[in-house]
Amino acid sequence: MKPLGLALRLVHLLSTLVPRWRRRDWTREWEAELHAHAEEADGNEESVLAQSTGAVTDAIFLRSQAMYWDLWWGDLRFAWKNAVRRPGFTLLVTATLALGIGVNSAVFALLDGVLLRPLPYRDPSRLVFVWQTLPRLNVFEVENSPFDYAAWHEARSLSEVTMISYGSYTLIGGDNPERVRGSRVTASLMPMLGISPAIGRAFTAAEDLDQSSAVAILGEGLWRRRYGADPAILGRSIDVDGSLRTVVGVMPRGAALPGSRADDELWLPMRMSPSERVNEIGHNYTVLARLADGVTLAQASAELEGFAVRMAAERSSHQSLGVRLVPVVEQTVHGIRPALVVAAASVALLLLVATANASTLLLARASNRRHELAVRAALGATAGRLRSLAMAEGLVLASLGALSGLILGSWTLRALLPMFDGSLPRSLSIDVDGRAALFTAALAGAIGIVLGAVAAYRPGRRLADALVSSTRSTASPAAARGRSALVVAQIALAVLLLSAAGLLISSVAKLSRVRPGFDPDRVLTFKVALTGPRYASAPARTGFISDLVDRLAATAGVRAAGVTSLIPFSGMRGANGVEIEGRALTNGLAIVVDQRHVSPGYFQAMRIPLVSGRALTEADDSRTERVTVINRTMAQRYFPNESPLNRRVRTVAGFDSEVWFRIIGVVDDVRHLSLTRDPVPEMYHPIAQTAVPTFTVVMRTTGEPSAMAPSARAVVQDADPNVPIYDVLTMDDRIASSFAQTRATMLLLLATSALAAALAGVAIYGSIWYSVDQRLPEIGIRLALGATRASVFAGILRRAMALALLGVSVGIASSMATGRLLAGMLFDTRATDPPTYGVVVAAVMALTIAASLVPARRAMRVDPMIALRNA
Amino acid sequence: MRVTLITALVLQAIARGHRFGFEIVDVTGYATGTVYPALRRLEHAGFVRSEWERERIASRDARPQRRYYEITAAGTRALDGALEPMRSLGGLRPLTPKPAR
Repeated sequence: MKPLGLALRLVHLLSTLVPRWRRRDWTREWEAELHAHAEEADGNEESVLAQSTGAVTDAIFLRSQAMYWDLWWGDLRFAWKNAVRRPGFTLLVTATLALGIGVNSAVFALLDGVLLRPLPYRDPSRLVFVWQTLPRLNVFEVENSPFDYAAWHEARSLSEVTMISYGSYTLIGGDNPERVRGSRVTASLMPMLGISPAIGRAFTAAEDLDQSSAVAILGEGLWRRRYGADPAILGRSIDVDGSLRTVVGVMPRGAALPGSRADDELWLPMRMSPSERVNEIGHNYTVLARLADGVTLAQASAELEGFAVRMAAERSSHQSLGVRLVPVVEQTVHGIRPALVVAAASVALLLLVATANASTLLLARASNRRHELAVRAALGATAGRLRSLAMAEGLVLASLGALSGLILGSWTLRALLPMFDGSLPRSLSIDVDGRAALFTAALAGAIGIVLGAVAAYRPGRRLADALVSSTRSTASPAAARGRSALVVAQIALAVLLLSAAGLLISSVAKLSRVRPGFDPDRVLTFKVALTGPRYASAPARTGFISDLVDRLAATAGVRAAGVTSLIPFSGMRGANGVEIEGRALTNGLAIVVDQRHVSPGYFQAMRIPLVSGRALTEADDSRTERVTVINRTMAQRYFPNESPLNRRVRTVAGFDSEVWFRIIGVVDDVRHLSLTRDPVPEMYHPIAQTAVPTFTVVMRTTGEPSAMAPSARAVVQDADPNVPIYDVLTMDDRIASSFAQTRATMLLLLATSALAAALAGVAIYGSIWYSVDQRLPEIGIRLALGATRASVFAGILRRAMALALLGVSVGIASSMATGRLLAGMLFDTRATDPPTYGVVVAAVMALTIAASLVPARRAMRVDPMIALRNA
Repeated sequence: MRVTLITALVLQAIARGHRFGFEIVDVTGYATGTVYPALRRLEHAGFVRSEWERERIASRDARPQRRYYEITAAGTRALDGALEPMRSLGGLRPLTPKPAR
């Protein structure tokens, strides 16, 4: 045979070594190669044969490359089969891991959406809020006046300055009037944020002034809901607060102003009058700006503070006013960050517990498999091969856990989001998405490696030891120590979580017991806005209010009804400067008192007790002397040694300023802002003397208050079908939502700590059961030698208690060390609250006893004969 | 992957337009048993890609179809990186024996 023919035969023979999928190509390639050599050699064909030996190296190279993957693939398949063959064990490990991974992917999605992802604006890290401050009054978030807005334009460190006036508006026309959230914005706002309408146009600079025609841009939700996503909406006229506006655009879905906690449904141009543009007193506008290129926050702050100092010196309206820049990102998340950090820490701890638990299970099984592993090693499996197999097992279990965890995670997130509703900014989108899946995959990988390392851990490496010893020999001390350490770690972590949950439960319980100063039980509240030409005059508004209150009071199921301009727990204060007649201003400054306007029936409806003097009556109206009722705090603080009755006071700014009010009565304090804040001085004016256009109605009902909402709506519709009611909530709900975030964190901690405790309980049970199992012969000997069954029982319990005590002390120590993390969320509870820790310790001890009872009873009932025979 | 002297030279040969296994063997002077495993590793790393020549051309020249290799962008970068130290040494030259004292 010619050398080329021989060489080709060799290549065909070798091709069987090459993995099947590339065999044909490989053969063709070598045929072409050898042909080329044969041509070149031209007569000296022996060299072809020499070159064909390269095919041997090539084929072996490809085979070994494939073998590496084949082996790994084989390990994975073996691990998978192993997992399927022991469904109970696999299910237990998977469920444990899924719990840990699931809550983590949910909280990651939340954290990612809120803290990690940039806000949906152009270069959001350069955006800042400009707040004015009143350091003397500890107020650091005063809104700007239009005068200030104009002044900030002079600042070189700000490249763009815009202004927003948040508000709400009544839409009339169609079947039902509706109150929607909306904002007036300057034309510069949308370009600065890098947002623009999806349909139509943005506002023009001319529309900042009131000479321009009235226009509006709709939010996507409003456009869909109220206008049926009408594609021909542009140019249509809509009735906003009784005046017509032309729709010029529709915003894209999800477009929201920085800091909005609810949907922005209506966007209106600023349209300021010339007199409003120079207003120095009305601090009603939020200013949003962009730092100029290369300017730091500190530099910009310094420049604006310089401005503020100059304005304070030059203008009486700006005395004691400072300025503060807050990055939009900071302002958006600072309220929720502590809760999220606690949530993330708690679920991370739960994951540690879950991983430790799964490791305990794997360790227990590994000692059952000592035989198998020893035989494998004896038959030639290298340490590397055994490790590879263990890794495969770890990864299979972790992947199963991660898959189920991902499903569990999206359920958890769905449960979690409503709890944090109201504290999450609207400009964020939160979902278990690709990034959360990636995070989960990374978690699974890390856990897989940990579990693999645990599974690869082989006590007693010597074949003889493993084969000779029977299954019920005493395990190596190292393995026993490893298992105990894992149990102690789980108990410690559970204690850490339980005490955090305990501290928050104690806080929430104390918050719920704080008396707000009125009786919130069975009170329905809703807001009403009187807008449009019909209610332009004060008598029209006063008439509507007294008519409405009368109609409501006459409704079946209503005990009493009243009206207030600011309902407690609405988040608004309505503070104003106040001067007392005949008393000089301290340092030339007025005292600060919160102002409310109420109907005569308000105190009765809210059950706010009268302390002295008289309450407001129907007779206190626009024809009589201006009167006011003050609260106890104001009376005690400003009239400490005298009766405030018949003294006169006046407000120094805003409408009604320079009018003297006679104090006719004192009512008890109400916690207006939140349960955690002490009452502040307050004044209640008769709404009949100052008819405010928007107010909240309170109705004390005989039955379930929320069931009265339809009747209330009907009564208002009956009085005027064009007046909408909105923000309908029971008083209990308003109070509850004021500490919703604390409660949500508490619930999350409660859930994670309960799961952690359950896992720790299982770990204690497993560990004690296993140690009893190992010690059966020893126990048998003890019993045979005269030990009492009670002493055996007590011995087992003692061992369990020793583990628990160690875990508890580590847990308590770490709780004390990390208590600072929680401190901001606690109310009237110290991070080292002894009763809470007492309860936690007692609970964990009880759990330990419960978990070790069954194994201890088993030890007690050992028959010495059987135990010794099996030894 | 680590670019060794062998793989760098094979890569260099491909970059210079020697695209067929035999040509590479010829120009580098390495045996097929060295060149082919190097080609496998380079292709696995994405430094070269391969394609079969047109069947028409092969049958015109009455020989089996050849597999042609071609350097990728990643391969060019890897080659540059591998050659850099050689350049900084002023190129590779045989060392001349030191003169005896």
